[in-house]
Formats: sequence, C-alpha cells, structure tokens
Amino acid sequence: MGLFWNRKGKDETPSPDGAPPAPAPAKLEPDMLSSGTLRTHRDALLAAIAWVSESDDTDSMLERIVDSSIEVTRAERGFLILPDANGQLVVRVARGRNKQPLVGEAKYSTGIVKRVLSDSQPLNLTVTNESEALEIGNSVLDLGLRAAMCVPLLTGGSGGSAAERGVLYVDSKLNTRRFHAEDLQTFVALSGQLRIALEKQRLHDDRLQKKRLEEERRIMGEIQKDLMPEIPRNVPGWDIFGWYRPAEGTTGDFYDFIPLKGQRLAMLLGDASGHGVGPSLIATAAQSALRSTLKLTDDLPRAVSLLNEDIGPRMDDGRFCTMFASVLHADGSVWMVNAGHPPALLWRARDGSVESFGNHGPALGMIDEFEFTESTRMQMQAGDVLIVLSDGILEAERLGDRSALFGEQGVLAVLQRHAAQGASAKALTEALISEVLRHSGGSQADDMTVVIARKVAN
Amino acid sequence: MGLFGKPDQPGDKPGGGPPAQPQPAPPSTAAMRTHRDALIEAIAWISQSDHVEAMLERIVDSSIQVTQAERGFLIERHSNGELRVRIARERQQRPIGRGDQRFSESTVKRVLDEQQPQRLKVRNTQEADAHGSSIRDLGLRALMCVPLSTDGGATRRGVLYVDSRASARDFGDSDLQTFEALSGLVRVALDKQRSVDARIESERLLEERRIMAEIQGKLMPGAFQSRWGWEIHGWYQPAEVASGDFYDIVPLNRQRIGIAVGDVSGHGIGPALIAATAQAGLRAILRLDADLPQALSVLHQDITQRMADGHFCTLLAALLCEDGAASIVNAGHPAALLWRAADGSVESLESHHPGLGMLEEHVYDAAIEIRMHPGDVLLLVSDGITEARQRKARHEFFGEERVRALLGQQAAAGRDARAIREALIREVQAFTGGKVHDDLTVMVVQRRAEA
Repeated sequence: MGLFWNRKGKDETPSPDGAPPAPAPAKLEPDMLSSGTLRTHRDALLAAIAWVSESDDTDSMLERIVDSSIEVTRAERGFLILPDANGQLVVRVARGRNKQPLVGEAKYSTGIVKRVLSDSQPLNLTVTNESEALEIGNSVLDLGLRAAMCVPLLTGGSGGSAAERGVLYVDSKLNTRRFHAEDLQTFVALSGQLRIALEKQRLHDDRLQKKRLEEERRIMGEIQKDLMPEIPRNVPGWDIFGWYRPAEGTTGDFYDFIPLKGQRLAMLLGDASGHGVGPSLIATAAQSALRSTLKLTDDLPRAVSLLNEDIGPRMDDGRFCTMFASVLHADGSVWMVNAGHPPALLWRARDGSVESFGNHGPALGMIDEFEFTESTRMQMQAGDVLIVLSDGILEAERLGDRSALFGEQGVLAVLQRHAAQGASAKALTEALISEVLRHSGGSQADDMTVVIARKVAN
Repeated sequence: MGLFGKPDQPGDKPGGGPPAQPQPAPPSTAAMRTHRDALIEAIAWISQSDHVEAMLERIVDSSIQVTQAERGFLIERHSNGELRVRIARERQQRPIGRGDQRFSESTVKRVLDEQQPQRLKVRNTQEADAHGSSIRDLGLRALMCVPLSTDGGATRRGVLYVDSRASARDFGDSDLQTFEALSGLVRVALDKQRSVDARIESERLLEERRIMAEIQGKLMPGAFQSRWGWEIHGWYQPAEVASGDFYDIVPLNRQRIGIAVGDVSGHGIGPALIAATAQAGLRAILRLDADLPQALSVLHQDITQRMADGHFCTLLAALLCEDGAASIVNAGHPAALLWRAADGSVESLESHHPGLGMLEEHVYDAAIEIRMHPGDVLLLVSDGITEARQRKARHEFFGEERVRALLGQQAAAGRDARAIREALIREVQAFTGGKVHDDLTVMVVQRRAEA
C-alpha cells in the first residue's frame, strides 16, 4: 500500500512498497526543521492567536487562518468546509497561494474530507502514484493531488453533533511536496484557532440574542407599566397608594384602581402563579376582565364568579391566579372578596389592633365552576389602614436564612411603627418596601406588589 | 526555599534540547521549538475544553515554563477597581498559597492604566528601589505583565503576569511575544466563560417565551364552536412566539355568540399584553349583556387610558343571534367578507371606525346589521393575511382580492367553514412560501343549512 494515513502526532514513514520515493530533501525531516522554519511556524501561531483574540471580523479571521495554513505548510490551496444551516457541507473559504482567493471552480477531494469526518482524526496524505490516488477516491486522481492534510473541526462546541462538523483542508499538486509531522502539528493548531474563531462568532451571536431577548422583555415590562393604573388622587375619604416591582422584567402580579359611580373606588390586587412573561399574560387578562366588569357592575361576588368562569377554563392545568377585590366607599365602608389571596390586613387607629380578612373562595382557575356568593363588608374609621400584598413580600427570605420569611409579622411591625404616626399610604408603602429589602438583603426572588388604602376624614 | 522554587533553570523541554542561551540572546532552535510547542498545546486546550478554570491554570503554567519565569499570576480587575488574584502558580505546575500571592502592584496598575505590556529587568538593588517597594521586598529581578482587555481596551479585565528572582533572568523579545499570545488565549477563555453564561441566560429567556406562547394559545378559545345554527372556525399563528393578534368566540346569554378578531400594533411579546387586555376586557363586557357599540366604547376608553401613545388595537367584533341576525362593529380592522349562498356574491362589509386607542373622543355608535341565511359565510382575517408577501416578489401582497376569490370559489363549491379556513391558510402559505412576517388570524362563520 502506497498511501499512508498519518495520525496527529505520529511521524510519517516512507512508503514500504518500493514506490519511487518522493524527493524529500533531508532538511525537511521532521526533527530537523530549521530554526527558521520553526520560527515561521511559531510566528504563524502568534499571528493567528492575535487575530482571533483581537478581531471581531469572523470572515477575515477565517481567511487569514486559511492563508496562514497554506503559507506555513507550503501548500498550494486551502479550504475551510463547514456545514450550512441545513447541515450540508459547503466551502466557506477557498484560498490559493499568496493570500489570493481561488478563482473558478474550487474542487477539493471529497474522499479525503469524508474519510476525516468519519475517522474524526487529522489526516496527512502523500500520493506517490495513480493507483494509490484511486484508492482514496476519484477526486484525488482527477485533481492530480500529490499531498493533502485535513483536520476535522467540531464547530458545535464540545460534544457537537455530526451536523456541526466541518474540516480545514490544504493540498498540493507538486510531486515534491510532502507534509511533515510538524506541518501537521502546526496545521492542527491553526485549525484549533479556526474553531475558536467560529465559536467566538457563535458566542457573540448568543450574547446578541440575550441582549435582544432582554430588550424585548424590557419593552414588555414598559407596556405592562402603562397597563397599571395611575395612583388615584383626591379620592373622597381615602388616601391611596400602590406599588409593584417585578422579580425580573415583567410581573405576574397586578394591582388596579377603578373609579366607580357614587364616589367609590375599586381596589384590586392579584397574583398569577409563577413569574416571568407567561404569567404576566394571565395576570393582565384577569386584571382587564375584572376592571371591565366592575365598570358595569359593583356586585363583587358576581364579578369574581364571572371572571373565574371566564378565565378558569383558559388557564393551563396547575396555573391559577389569586385575586383580592374591594370597593371603597367615601363613608369608610368597604366591600371585599378574596379569592385565594393572602389575607388583607386592617390596622385600627383607635387601639393598634389588626384584623385579617381571609378567603371567600379558591384562587381563579382552581375550580372552574366555583360560584362566589360571599363577601365581607366592614367599616373603616379615619386613620385606619387596609393593606393588601402579594406573597412576594410575605415570603421574602432573610439574607443568609432562607427559612426566615418577612411574613405578616414584618408587615404588622411596619404598620405599628408608622401608621400610628399618621404616615401617609405612600410613606407606609415606602417604609414597608425598605424593611422588606433590608430583610432580604436587597434580593428579590418573586414579584412584589402592595396596595394601601388609608381612611381619612372626608 | 520560601516564596520561590528552584532558581531559574532553562530548557524544560521534553527530549532535552541544548540549554537555552542566556537571554536576551537570539533564541536557539530548541527555544523556538519550545515556544511553538507551547502555543500548539495552549491552542489545543482552549479549542477543545470547556473547563475554563483548568484552561487558565494551564496557560499560566505554560507561561511560566516557556518564558522560564518562576511565578505566574492571572489577576482580574473587578468593576469596583479591586484587583483579585484568580490564578497563582509557580514552577512545576504548583499553586501558590493565599498568603504568598504577592506581586508587583505598581506594575500591574501601570499596565492596567496604560494598556501596554511591561517588561522589566532589575539589575541591582538601586534599580529595585526605583521600581517600588513590592519589587524590592519580593527581590524580583525580572517581570512581564500584559493587559487582558476586551472591546478594544474598553473593558479592562485584568493582567497576565510572570516574574523571577533569578538575577540571570531577562525576558527576551520572543518571550514577550509568546507571553502576549498566551494572554490572547486567556482572553479567549475568559470571553468564552462570559458567553457561556449568556447562552444559558438566552436559553432560559427563550424557554420563558415559549411558555408565554403556550399560555397565550390557551387564552384563545377552542377553535371550533357549533351551536344555535352557527359553525365557527378560528385559527391564528404568531409571527414570533407570542402574538399581538387574537380572536375569540364566546357563547352568551339569549342564545347569542360573541366573536372577535383583533390585532395590536407592533410585534414581539410586548403587544401580547395589550392583546390580552383587549380580548379579556371585551369578553367580560359582552358577558354583562352590553350591546356592541357600548362594549367597544367601554373598551376603547379603557385601552386609551392604559396604552402608551403610538399603540393601538384594531378589532372586529360581532354578535351572532340564534335567528341569523348579526351585528358587527369594525374598529380599524380589515373588512369582513360576506358570501351569499343565494347568488354567490361576496360583499365587503365596509365600516369606518378607527382602531381602539387611536382617537380618544371617538364614539363607536354605528353597528353593521345583517341577517345571514343558511349557507351564508362570513370571513374575518387579520392584515397579516391580506398583507402576506409573495415568496419571490416580496413587494406583492396576498391582498383582499385573493381572499374574496378564494371565499367565492370555496363557498360555491359547498365547502364548510373548516374547509374554507384550511383552504385559505394553505393558499397563504403557498403564496408566502411559509415565510411569515406578521401574525396571521382567520375566522370563518357559517350559517348552518339545517338551522
């Protein structure tokens, strides 16, 4: 057999079958590369590293590395062959000597490429006669190749699938050309730089995509912010405030304030299970539906029942949305319905006592046919404070002790300290949030939302 | 022997070439080979491994070995300006303990400030004094330090640093060149880590988006309703994962069915929130027995208050009654097409209300009142259908004419609502070659023959 397949790191041995030996000058024996040749190799590597680490122009990096591969190994042509989007191998770069593109048809030995891809090993091939050339495939013979080197490139990172494989390839038609073990080593290293360059491009694309996705989510967060109500001012008999902050980008919580006939105000707070952009959609739908309903009816149990009947069947199994809905009257009377939401807390100015108002039924989406029939009606006096929060506040974990939740106790402590001083709804909210963030060390694992209604003299 | 290992020893190369000559004399063949081999190896690590910390250690080890230094450091500069040693190694591929990780801070700071490599040779104690206390205290005689910056020097990430106490050590040009190249590979490794983090985050965001699309799909009604003499088939396909289009089919009291097709301006996942608002709001209002003009006015007022300037929502809503009467209000949406079984005509139901959120003062008072007879077909589409672009001639739109023609043919051939919907989708897909640039929505309403 007159062909020999050299693996990376192995030295070539001359053909054993007595074929005419290639006239290889002694000075090209692998271990005798001159200092000058070694310098050329080293310089090629230095340059390739510099291009790849400094440039962001992938195409020119790839061309330069192919040019350098030709030059340093003294080949005639070089190809970079990579899979396209459909996994078909296409010539990405085809270069000749002197840093020139190959003009006309750029044909390479498909037999060699196939062999390298199936073996996943670098190949160093010398052809000494035509029958040997035929052994590897017609393409070697037709192209009149006498020597070729080819290295597999995994472009999909480690563990890349077959579809992500390409090759770096150089060849020569010169009878006198043989590639040596050290040529192959340097060539393999250049292919490593190519792979780094390709990966860098891919990672760059990933970073751009991350930016794009974050930007998209940011815009969605802006739209969501618009969909939240303005804080109502000059509500007869009430001082009102609301606040929310998404854990990330958009919130799965909502709050709303809707002016109703008869100088009344509807105050809502809800929380769709989960967080992120998906639950935001559910929260927004529930918010809108309840808001629209309350514009036409003030029958709270009916409104919440209608909402449950409407949106329940459209929620995925396992998803739900808690909801607290209330109507505030100028005289201090308050109606409320709580569907699976953490209890609303009422702080009484006269004695600092606290009442909590629990559920009238399950969260929306839990039982599709559930009919809300009950509601709570109670009376608030000037100075009393009603506060409703999402569990992102109640379940805020203490920094360094995940089992210590902020809890109702944390909320009550803020109320006792500040409501007694006559703090406004806004000031109470601010005090509450700064306490929560102090508790959690500034971190936030879930969406946080709070609404506060403080009764004032009419 | 304290801080440093053995004094400088040349030629760690396997196979043992001749000892390297004292620097900075021109490098020998063996030294040149060592340099080349070091680069080849370092490239192999970086191109084949995903283990960044191990890569960095090996490059620092290699830097020490190839330049015949004694110690090597990878020092990172954090966003608050603080310097932190990430990798500290000495000869023989050994780590340097925390307490001994001292280096020439003045040199590192200078390299970070000037963004230029530094190569120092200290010939005697006087020179050491001149270079600053750390060089003197550590007894350093030679050091090299190169910046690790990305984005053309805009992000100063730190330095790669080697030093030696051996008085014979003097780093040569080729040492510096190879050292700089190794620093280039360190940069690549650091970038790789940053990017892998970005990829993980991207994948998480994509997964979130996918879930959102799924949730949106569930918020749409079942695609099919058949009751009170009506057959209704809806369909939508978002251009991206989540859609600004929506449609709805809601059975109401008094044997009525509310239907709607809407389209929020803009693309991407943001408009889906406005679509959810309009869709759920309309449904809630219709459930409370509002008539169409009232429903659209309430919704218009609501959306106008809550949508930022520049956004709007087109909406075509209809109430279908048991007796075949239908009332339709069209707020800026493509006209509904009505095919009459009696004469095979296709009528475009023109209406000139603006989209919701466009004109604050607008009153949606006038509804189109029609009566549909057995076999009649009403077709609603979003502009993604009429403005679908041809695969080859991108300036050519699918257009209302094609929709009308298809409706006429299909209905005349006796196709039912589902078949008409599918024929239209097929034709649009063939026209565009599957390349969708806008959300697509179709709803076909047919008055049943036997009703």
